[in-house]
Amino acid sequence: MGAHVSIAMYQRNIPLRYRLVGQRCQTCGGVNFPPRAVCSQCSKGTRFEDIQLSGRGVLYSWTRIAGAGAPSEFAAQAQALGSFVVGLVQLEEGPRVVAQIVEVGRSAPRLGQRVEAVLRRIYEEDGVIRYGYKFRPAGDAAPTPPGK
Amino acid sequence: MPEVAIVGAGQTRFGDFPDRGVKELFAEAYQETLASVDRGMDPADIQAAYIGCLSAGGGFQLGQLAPLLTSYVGLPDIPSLRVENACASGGYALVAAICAVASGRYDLVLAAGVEKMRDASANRARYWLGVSGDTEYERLAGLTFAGIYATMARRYMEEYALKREHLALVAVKNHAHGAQNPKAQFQRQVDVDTVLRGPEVASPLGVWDCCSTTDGAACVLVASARVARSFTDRPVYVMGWGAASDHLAIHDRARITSLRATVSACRQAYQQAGVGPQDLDLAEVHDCFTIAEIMAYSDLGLCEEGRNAALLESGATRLGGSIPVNVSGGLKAKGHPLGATGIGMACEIFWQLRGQAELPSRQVKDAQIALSHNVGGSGGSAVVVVYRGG
Amino acid sequence: MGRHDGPGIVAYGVYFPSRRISSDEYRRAWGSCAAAIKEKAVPDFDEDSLTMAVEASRRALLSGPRRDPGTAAVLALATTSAPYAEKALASTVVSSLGLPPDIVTVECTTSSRAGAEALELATMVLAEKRKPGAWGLVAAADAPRAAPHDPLEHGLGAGAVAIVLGWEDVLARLVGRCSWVEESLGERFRRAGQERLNDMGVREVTGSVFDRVAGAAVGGLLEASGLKPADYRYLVVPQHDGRAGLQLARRLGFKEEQVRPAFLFDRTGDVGVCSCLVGLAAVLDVAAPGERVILVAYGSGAAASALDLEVTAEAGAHRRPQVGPALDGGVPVDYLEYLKLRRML
Repeated sequence: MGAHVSIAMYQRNIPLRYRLVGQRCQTCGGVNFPPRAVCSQCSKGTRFEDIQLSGRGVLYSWTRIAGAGAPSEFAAQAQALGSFVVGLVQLEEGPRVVAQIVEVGRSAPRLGQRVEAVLRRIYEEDGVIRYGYKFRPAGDAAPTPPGK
Repeated sequence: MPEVAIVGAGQTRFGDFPDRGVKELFAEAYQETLASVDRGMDPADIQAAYIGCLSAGGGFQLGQLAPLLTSYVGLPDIPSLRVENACASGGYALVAAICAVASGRYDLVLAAGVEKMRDASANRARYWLGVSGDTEYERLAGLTFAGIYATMARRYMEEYALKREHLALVAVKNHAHGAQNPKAQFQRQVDVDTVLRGPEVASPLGVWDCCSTTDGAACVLVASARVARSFTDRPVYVMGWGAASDHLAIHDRARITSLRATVSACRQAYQQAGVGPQDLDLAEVHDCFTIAEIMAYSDLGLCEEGRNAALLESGATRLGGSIPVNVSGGLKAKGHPLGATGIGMACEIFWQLRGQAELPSRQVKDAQIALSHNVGGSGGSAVVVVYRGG
Repeated sequence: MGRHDGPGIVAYGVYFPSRRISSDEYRRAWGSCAAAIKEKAVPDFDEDSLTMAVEASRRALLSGPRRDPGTAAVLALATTSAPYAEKALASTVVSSLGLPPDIVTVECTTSSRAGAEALELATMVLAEKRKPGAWGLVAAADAPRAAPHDPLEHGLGAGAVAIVLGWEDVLARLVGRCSWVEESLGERFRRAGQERLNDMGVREVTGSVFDRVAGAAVGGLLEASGLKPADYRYLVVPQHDGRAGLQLARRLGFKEEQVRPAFLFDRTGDVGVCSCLVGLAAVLDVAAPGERVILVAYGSGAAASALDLEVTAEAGAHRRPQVGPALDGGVPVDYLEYLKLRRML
């Protein structure tokens, strides 16, 4: 049984999901991602402008979800990969975001490691592919060899 | 003088009950509660009921579950309300009952919690848990409930040099406690090696770091202090309580090594109670994952921040220590029937403060003051209650 | 199109997914590898043609001067392995890159010639949109599929190429082209609703169709340009296998050194609509000002396009090679992992 986010609900967030569009608070200049009704930085601002986030950040924390324990939306992915990594990424503009970390193989990511956003398929619901951001190790770091 | 007291408590054993549904479990806990009232009571005196339940009975009764349950046990007329705040549903039901009595409107209110997880497929059970985080941004990024706490654990280990073994020690301690509790789901001890060798669920957490979501029900009778002594000579008084919320999603929180909702709820509770952590004789703490208990130590003021592992290692939180934590076995060993958990904590404290633990070996000696701590999801909500024996 | 004032290629990007399967894995699994590959890229479980197209596009945009997404005038997308059989595909790319909603979009699908079609069409559209800052994007991505037991599958790779078109700082310009189509049955095909390619394996017939159709396109191009094979420094040939394109080049009178720099089949496998564009990117990585390039794209069924490109004086000024870095490295996977990642188990 899958968690349900309706197509309409997903659709409203496409700029956010596909290219990390955040909010800049016109009161304090702070950046919110995902969007808020009241700015999370100053707790006052209610007027925002869109801001294109860079997609660059560092890994604040992470976990590897074991295949058998994956949510049903990700069961097929977990079966194919054995497990997958979900991280909490600290974006360079300030906000943190939860997202899968791809291209880490079986290796253990490092806290503080640089990551960058990529567009991937997240899951499918109602027969429709839900695309969105994930992150992968950034910079010159070569892909980590698998732990074979 | 406290305004509110608990005069009766009852709880099913927590665990797998394939032959009993949500109604039967609720009825068992309710009957035990009635029977626990020292001078007896007429059920007709119960004026309202607040019932914590996350899954609406496993999803079969999304609307009006509470009237369904109260009418099943012969209370068809009273106002009856389901309270939902994920794993803190029971704690919030208790607080709702306390408020209702403190308001002066009622003198006797039933606070209950019930959950039926084991009828559900594994997928559906995970669903109920997974959607108690921020569905859009946590669950649908692939994070499970365990995954969220694992993310906290990883950060905590980094910031406080906590070792994997420390997590294991929580499981070992709480299973040792649970082994003596006839109401616990798991009544056997484990050792550190077993915990460390367990299959990984969400690294760094293994299967032994996770509580088991399960079936169970629990009730307490909340009475005004005015009438409490008509039911018993030994009421357990509610000295203070606090409840608070936090951002549901961990990405919105400034820190993930402390639960702000716990800190805030706890401050309110101590303040109202006029006591501090040094006054506690025991605490029932929300250890849905081993890391949760470790974080709770400092959030509840049992130790300074950063001294959490040392407190654990010192043995202070073991039965017989200076501040035993989760002598019931905690969620870890006693089991975690989501909505029932917060009420189950109040039941344990009711028995401990009245010297009624089933086995003398698990009774905290001369317990006077106790605290319960119930958390919703990954800390989106929390309830702390401080109690005193009568 | 004016020869020296039209829009042209101003930047390009290449993406191969990070995992690699070697031909040894095929030999272990099947006893032999039917394709002349050393290795090929394997898309991650959550990648498809659209995500790869976006990735290559981001790389292309990063490799050149900064461009305002809002002034993009045309997006031409090419793939034979679209995640939807019906639904606009370009919209995913437009939203992901923040391109303007009034952009002209073209979607070229159903044959591996589509990469060249997209380049031609985008250039034509942009030629009509001579506005300050106007630019265009060609995004080609493919991960063709066949049944595991089909020898055709051994050669099927995955990858993406994106080309940024603009009016200024042009690296290479399209100066001529020739298209040739002939009805041909029996080459590879997928019926509507099928995910996996069929190949009748009638090599004598399909080989001669390929030679005739692709050869005709090149012949037409040479006739129009009035030049001889020797006047071209590079010939980018179709790379659906490790042989046909090379034989075609020889037959047309081109020499090994004209073909080899763009012939990457042994490292890419058949990347469908991208194969000719990967070859073009490899040429742009090394080409010198003034050099001429013929690109030949081929789609079964049968359609060929030959494009005549001239490398400008700008080429090499701020060169950032794309193909080598995209191909280098990679994490090896075994055949079982490959089957799982490609959803064939």
